[in-house]
Amino acid sequence: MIECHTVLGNVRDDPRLRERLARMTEGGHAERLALSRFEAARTRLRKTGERGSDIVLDLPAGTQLHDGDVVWLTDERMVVVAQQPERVAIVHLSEDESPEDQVETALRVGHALGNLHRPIQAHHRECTLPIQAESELDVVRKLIHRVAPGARIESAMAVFDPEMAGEEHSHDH
Amino acid sequence: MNQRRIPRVGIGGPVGSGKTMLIERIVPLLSEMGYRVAIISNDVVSKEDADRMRKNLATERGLVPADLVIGVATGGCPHTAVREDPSMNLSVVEELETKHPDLDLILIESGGDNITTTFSPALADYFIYIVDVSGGDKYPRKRGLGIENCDLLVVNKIDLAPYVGADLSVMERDARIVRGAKPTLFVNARTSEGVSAVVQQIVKNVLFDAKPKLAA
Repeated sequence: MIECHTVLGNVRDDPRLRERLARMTEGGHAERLALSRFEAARTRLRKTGERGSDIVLDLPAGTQLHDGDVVWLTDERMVVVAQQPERVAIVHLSEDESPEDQVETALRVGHALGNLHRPIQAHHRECTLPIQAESELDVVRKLIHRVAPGARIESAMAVFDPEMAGEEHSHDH
Repeated sequence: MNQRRIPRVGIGGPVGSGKTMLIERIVPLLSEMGYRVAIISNDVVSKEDADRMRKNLATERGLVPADLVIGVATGGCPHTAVREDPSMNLSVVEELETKHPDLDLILIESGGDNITTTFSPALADYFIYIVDVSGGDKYPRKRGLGIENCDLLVVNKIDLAPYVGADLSVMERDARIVRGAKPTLFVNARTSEGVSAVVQQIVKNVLFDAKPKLAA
């Protein structure tokens, strides 16, 4: 059993860890731990890694795991979180409006999506939110086109990393 | 390492699916193994489920101290108290952690709710969703957050299957399609059939096969 108690870093942000991962993958010492988004929000979890290791996570309260997090590192083994892609809707906001109108549209879209009580991921002109089935895309389309007729909406399979604003994820005293 | 933190299992499911009875069957098995368990039971307005479990597990059988079966009347939608704003439940959990540090496990029962129930990861480490066969064998394939994302899906009242025309093999097949490798267990909580397999999942995946704290 591999017991992980802390996040050591992320291979995306840390070039040294990234290089170490490449070397250890080559040597057959790297192991991916596939987690759903829901599992990535957990601090206590037991799961089998991709190479069959029995992996236990017992992390500090409030820890949110991200794709690429290294949770175990020795000369023999490196365990890296691989968050599983899920179905998402991506709302692309149009640029064909005056700056003031773009802000107004963005506020309206934010309000409409907020009413769905879903997590979101905002990036430049895009807003991503998880959907459970392709059939939900029509619902999102109708909702958004009412307030932003120029927005383009598509679905994709992607790793969804929700914004943490305003959400309570720990309760550490 | 979280020495102070007591592992927590959330149990959700529709009204009448057998959440309370499943807990009443799980606790004796865990306590036989030496684990000390506390129970938090959420109900919309009453504390009926908590009172029933206290009578059964504490007063009559002495398996759990009476003050470790705690009722929370949530008001409003049951899922909000375990997902959107779990602060009411978290404060009870924290009080238990302070006053009873030798507890091995806390079971948290959600109020009866719809198929989109889930637990906040801040509240529960493991999520059991329970349905019963009397709603028909369509349940697993209709998906919903609870059924898809729970760590363990429990299908209860399997003895009723022939009376309601529910095909358990269909439920098993659909659950595998919707849930992938995550487990689904079939039980009859009334007779305890299949309940030990639920306990095995909890001991392995929540307690990490650790010995009871007081025995260690």
